[in-house]
Amino acid sequence: MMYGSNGCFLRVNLTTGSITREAVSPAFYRKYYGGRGMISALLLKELAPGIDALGPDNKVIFATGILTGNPIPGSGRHSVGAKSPVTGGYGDGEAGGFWGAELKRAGYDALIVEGRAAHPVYLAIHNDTVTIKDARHLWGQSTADVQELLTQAEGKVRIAQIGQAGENLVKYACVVHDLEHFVGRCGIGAVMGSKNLRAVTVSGSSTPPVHDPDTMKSLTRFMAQHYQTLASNIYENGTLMVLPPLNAAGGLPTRNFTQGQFEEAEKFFPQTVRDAYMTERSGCYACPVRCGIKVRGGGPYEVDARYKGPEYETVAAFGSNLGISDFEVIQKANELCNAYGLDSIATGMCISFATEAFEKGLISTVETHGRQLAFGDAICLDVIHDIALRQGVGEVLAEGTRSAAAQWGEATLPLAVQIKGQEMPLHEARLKQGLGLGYALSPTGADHTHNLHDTLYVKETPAFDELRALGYTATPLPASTLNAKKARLFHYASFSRYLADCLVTCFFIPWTTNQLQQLIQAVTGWNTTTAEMMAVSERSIVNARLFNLREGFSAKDDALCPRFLEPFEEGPLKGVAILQEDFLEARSAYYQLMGWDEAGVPTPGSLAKLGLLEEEACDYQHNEADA
Amino acid sequence: MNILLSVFLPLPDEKPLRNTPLNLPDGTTVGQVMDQFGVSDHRVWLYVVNHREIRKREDTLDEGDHLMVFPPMEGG
Repeated sequence: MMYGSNGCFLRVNLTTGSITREAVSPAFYRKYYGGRGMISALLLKELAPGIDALGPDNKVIFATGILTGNPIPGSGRHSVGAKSPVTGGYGDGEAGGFWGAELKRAGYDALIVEGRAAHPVYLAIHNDTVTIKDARHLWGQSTADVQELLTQAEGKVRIAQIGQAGENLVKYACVVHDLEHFVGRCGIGAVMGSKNLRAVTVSGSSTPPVHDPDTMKSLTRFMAQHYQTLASNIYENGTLMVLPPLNAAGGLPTRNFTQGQFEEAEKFFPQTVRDAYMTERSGCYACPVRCGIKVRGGGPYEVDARYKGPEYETVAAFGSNLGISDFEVIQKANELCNAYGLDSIATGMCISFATEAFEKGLISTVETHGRQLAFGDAICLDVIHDIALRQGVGEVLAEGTRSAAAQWGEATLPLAVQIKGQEMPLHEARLKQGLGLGYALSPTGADHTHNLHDTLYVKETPAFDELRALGYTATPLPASTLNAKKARLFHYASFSRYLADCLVTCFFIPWTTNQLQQLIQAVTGWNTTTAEMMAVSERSIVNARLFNLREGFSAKDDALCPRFLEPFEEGPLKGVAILQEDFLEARSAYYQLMGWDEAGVPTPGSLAKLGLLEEEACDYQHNEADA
Repeated sequence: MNILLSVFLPLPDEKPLRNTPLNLPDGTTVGQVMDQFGVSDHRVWLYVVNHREIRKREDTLDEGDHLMVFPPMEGG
């Protein structure tokens, strides 16, 4: 008997209309757990090299984890992956909410969507009943309206969908779950759009059995009783908790990362925002923390109450990064991104890139199609419409800053704050230099989630206990340094992060490694070890690496963008930059720690250690049967 | 002198300090305030005054200051 998983993937081919259920071997789960682990293995195995990310040969994979669907705080997440149209390489992202748990309850651990429908469709999953349905009436509508229409049509279901940005193949279109939870990065929404797949609704009625329910309940009871202390800051302030200290430290991205401190940042402090705008808290499956907020609008910028309020990334992207101090403009920008299905990070960064280029005279109203771009101006709201609808300046910006810089001239290239084509999240790499290393090394480009946040490791905190549980032996390091020691810290910290993305658990619930080990054991019955858990994590890193190498990526793509090599001209970090020689030393050290050669290619020995040399490394022994 | 104190990390008595008014002798240092509430330096990333000025433990506070204390943190 298999515990914790259904032992079943659902595969839907939109070109042929075939719907199959595939049995999955227990060994596959133990090797990859779920989420990024499964997706990286499946994409490596199933996608031919060089395919068009927006063509029918790409596949979108929704994956849960071995803990998903159980009442475990922080387990209400799932991953969605595909070859990324943003980077041209491996792509995935995670979202919270309820959708993943519902897929598990419907009887599937993963959903693989292939091909391209002849016209807009949506996929309706109700336990064993899986149907491809006409979505032509949904095309061109806002995500909130589609949420209502599909709820009317399908009843009480969870909904993953794209918006008009995905329909229009905006490269950084996102996947929206129940209007509140987003797989924002890597442009997976554009891949869904390229398949004419507007939405996937899901409802289910049972979860797989758990091996040791009493231990699982004991652990979940512990977290339910202690989260207000253990996760006090995120509980009280949500993700905006980081904004005040980042601003004070000079690491709050401001005006397209040209500055690190915003003069009106106090307007975005979490309690200021909550007191003025919060209407209710918002959360995820089985999680007591409920760190999100729903908001009311104000002034000329009424917001649609059906959407969730902005998180830190969006506040920084449309606030300090665009020089905007009016929180009501930020709320409106957040609503528009959610309604169109746009990654708010990439959207904000594309607009700040164009604004800096315009203010510096590198482009004119010819390139902006008449838009008078300016930092601090609510004109950014107009540009969001332009991008989603691919009109005016939005036609160029919908392709991302790397592509826009190629069109607008070499002088604009240093203004494109991106890595591997992925726009920069709102975390400053000159403050957190290990994070900068992680940006360069990530298979998905500039990504802050599976990364090192140096500012957690500047003092001897419990975070070090977690790294020591994995074998790390060093002591705190300053945030704004980069060297071989920092590479070693990044190596261990990212293992922990990738593990969470394989289990698809939330970073904000402070499970210890030991508790996660107990949870895995309780749910699955596996007598697992920390070493085994770390091997799962490492496989997900290596498989994504192999995917990118096969696509032509090399060490030269593990690079920083020019902005992080420029010293700040003012503020607490005046004069601070990442030194290229420090970066190269750290990158080389990381390659060695991973068992990769000087070109960043995993050696046969490192692959053998992880069981990735066998021909069937990514196989899951399926038997096809009609659904 | 009067100051405000906000400490964003768990305290021994678990009572949160947010914009808490304190009346202190002139010349009180950041460290003296921290000692009063049992906050040792190894638990702190930043001492910030008036939202943007980073202070050390030995720095003195001034009338009207708002001292915010942040633990090492990640994310966002």
